[in-house]
Amino acid sequence: MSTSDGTVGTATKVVDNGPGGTRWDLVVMGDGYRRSELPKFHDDVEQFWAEVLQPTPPFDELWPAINVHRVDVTSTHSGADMPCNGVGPFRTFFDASYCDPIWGSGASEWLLTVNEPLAKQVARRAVPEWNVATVLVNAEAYGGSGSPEVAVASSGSVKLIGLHELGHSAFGLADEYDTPVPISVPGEPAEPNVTRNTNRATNKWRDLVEATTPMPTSCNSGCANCRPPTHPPPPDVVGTYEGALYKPCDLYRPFPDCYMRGNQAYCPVCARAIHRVLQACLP
Amino acid sequence: MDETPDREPVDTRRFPSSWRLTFRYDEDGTVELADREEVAMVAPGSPGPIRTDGEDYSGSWVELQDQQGRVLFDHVLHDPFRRLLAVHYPPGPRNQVVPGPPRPGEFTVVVPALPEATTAVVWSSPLEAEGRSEAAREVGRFPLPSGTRGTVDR
Repeated sequence: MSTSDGTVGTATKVVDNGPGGTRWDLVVMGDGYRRSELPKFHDDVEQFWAEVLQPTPPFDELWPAINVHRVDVTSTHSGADMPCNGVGPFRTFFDASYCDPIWGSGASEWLLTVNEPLAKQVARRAVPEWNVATVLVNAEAYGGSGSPEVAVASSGSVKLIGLHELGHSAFGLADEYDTPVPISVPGEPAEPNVTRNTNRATNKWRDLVEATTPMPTSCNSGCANCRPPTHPPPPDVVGTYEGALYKPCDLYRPFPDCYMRGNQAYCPVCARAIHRVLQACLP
Repeated sequence: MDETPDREPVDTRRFPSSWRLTFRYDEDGTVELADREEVAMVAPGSPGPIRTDGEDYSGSWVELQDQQGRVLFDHVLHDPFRRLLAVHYPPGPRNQVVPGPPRPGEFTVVVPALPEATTAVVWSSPLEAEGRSEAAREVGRFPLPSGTRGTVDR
């Protein structure tokens, strides 16, 4: 349950699109992989970049901007703790744990966290020009988490959770789901993909809204301030759909669904934000 | 709300070196610039246009200002103080967040080493979950290159 519970091995640039420092350098590390499981870690990393990241728009067209580095971190034990179910403790390098009690009552069995300062330290030493790190945890159970520099996902849920958490960690995207958290009112969210503003002349993604798209584009029932459109909008157009940022009313997302809300592709607004971040790293 | 920005973000490709700024915060909400490392790398771009009046916005971000207080670059952050914990219910898309307890921590941003930048400013909404969508305020102002301290309201 510390750095004595594993080793940091070699760093390998598995996707090389240019010199480090001129590209967006993503570092992928593992936790809960024993030395004998390094081949599985290598397969999991390859699956992550080749089957999840690279084919996913807009990463497909931005791929020349991206380097991927794999850092072989081994652990004494395999897997991750799940103290709420009596599983573990396991001795792993980054202390991967579902439902870690340090997170208080919010620590559900789907919250998977690691020692983030340590993950950043290892990433920085291995790849000084790193931008963002992803920790793949050798576990099948669904789970993950994200901080500004480190995205965490279990190897069994990397497609959905990995892309969502990277949206937070690397691109400053907000959650678009609306399961309520008590949040009070004023202020326009700083994030590029949520808004209070349904005015087509001033909305932050107004250039992506067709003139024929009603604004707001959809309203949730019981939300007094949203005036529903008289005609339903065409499917999958950019607009303002009520329900975002943990609030069913008065906050809007740009598209019906997106990785930042559920399990659909990044919407055009999120894709543009990703593009803006990565275009500096294109050849 | 009028949210029309006045200019597009700086093109970070013009600046081959960057600063990696590490901010540390404690349970009491004190923020300090713990480390400023110059790195030979191009900073990622900003995901959107520069905000022109931080008090009209909620959330968290770091911005670089020049001597006149003009915003030169900003970097939006998702919950850098780690107060909202995402819970992903299998197999998605039913997600939610829950408030986490106050804990010390740190966050890092990579920003372009702009010659005119004299100050790094951290903005944040109040940290309690109920205040997450309240207007952000300046919680730390740090001359570059030397550091100072600031405080996040609770």
